[in-house]
Amino acid sequence: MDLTITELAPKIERGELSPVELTRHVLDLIEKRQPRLNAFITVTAEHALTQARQAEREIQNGQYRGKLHGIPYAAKDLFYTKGIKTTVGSKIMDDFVPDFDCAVIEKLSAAGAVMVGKAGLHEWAYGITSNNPHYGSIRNPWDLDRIPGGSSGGSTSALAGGLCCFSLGSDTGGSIRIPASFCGLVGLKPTFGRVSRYGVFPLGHTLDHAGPFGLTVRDTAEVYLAMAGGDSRDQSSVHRPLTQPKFGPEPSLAGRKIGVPENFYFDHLHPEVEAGVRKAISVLGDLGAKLIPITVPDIEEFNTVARVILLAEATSVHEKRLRERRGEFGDDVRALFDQGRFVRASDYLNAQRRRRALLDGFNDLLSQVDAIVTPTIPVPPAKIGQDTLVVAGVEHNVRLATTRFMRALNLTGLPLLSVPCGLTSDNLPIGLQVIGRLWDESGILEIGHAYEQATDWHTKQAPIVTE
Amino acid sequence: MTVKQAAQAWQFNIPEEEIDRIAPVVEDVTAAIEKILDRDLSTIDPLPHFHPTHR
Repeated sequence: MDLTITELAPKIERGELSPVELTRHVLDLIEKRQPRLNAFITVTAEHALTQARQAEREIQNGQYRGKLHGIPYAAKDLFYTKGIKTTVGSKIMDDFVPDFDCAVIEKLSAAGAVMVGKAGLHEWAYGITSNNPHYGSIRNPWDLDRIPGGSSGGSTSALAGGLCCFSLGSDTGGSIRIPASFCGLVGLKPTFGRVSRYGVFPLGHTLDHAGPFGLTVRDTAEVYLAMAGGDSRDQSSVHRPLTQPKFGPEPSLAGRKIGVPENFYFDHLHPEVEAGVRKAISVLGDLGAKLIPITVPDIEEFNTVARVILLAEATSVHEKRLRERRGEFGDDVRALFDQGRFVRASDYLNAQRRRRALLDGFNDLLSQVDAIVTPTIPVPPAKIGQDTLVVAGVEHNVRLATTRFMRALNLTGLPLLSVPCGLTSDNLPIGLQVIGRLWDESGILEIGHAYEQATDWHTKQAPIVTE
Repeated sequence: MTVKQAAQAWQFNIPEEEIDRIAPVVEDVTAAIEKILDRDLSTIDPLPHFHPTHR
């Protein structure tokens, strides 16, 4: 069954497809594939069927709520869900049951969506492998021996594995874009402040964003529009008008200017990633976009700035737990939290000051172009347990190589999109990152959609889905 | 002050073998911060409009 929202929603609206039957179909697939993928920490079958039955009743009574009505989804297990365990991938919170829904879940429930489970993640969302010492390694549906990326690895393992129709993630230093790229999905990190983080367990307060994953850009846009909006309970969120992306019937980027970095973003790339991304950029040109070479600010310096800020902010969230329940943290995240204890307050504040320069630099570039495109990740997904990888004869740390194009951009708050743009000779997905102007999610979604219309990478499915 | 001395002074209670593992990273970050401090940031106020997108 085609699980795109675009395909399913009209059938549900017309009464040709029962939300209950769709949910049962998805739950059956979860039962079959979860043992191999380990995408979920909690499967919420009863909850899902209750929501699906309600959706079915409402639709039969003529109360269709919109395109997400009756559509099954998975939420990363750091979105608070009333009466449903929310572990944040940790042992310490393995029995935590919130007594309220986070803002995003509230919105999706109001839209009539059906939550089938809480997806696994890297412990405390602080890592990119999703190898979780408490809940096991999450598997990439494209190659079960490889990482799905992280920290939102369960959300993308579930979606690429055909176990839901969309999913939710959060992105502090790449945690939406990395797993989207590694699992061949679309992932959107909206502008900072666009989506309420009320009830989303934090990692870094000034870097965290919530956003959607979809099988297509159009699907991702539907979920984004349902999630977005200011919220007085999250003072970092902003009330701004939402612009609907305009998806034309024919792919065209005529009149758009797209910046292509000449520095940094094409250094130390896996050759097949570079070939895939260069080809994708040429497609954008073929669609009428004017490709403009640009020079980006010193991203390495801003990766350091981001690292200092995240180390301090993440440790501030966990300082008490670290003192009282040290042994219950996994080794890798405990080391990161310990590192954060050594960041001085003055260094943190100076990093925040320096951060401004990066946004100024990107805002300046984005006054000359409509968007900027880069590879999402320089390398294909590593094998589970692999610590280093070799690119062009040079050995790199997997975590640092994977996040090299990610972390600095979280400082800017700019909207960022990853779309599938190829497969390596090992059948592993490659992603194209589109960087937009502040609040211009529509612009990057339109570019992504035009690219999708001209290519078929978004239609490729992981082997576990087609077997 | 070394990382180990700092951990003791601030009573972090991190086991010695774990300090040995994280010390090179902490030193790396500290060295990288020096580059930031080389810049004149005195006119930039990080607070109260904390996030850049909220200016």
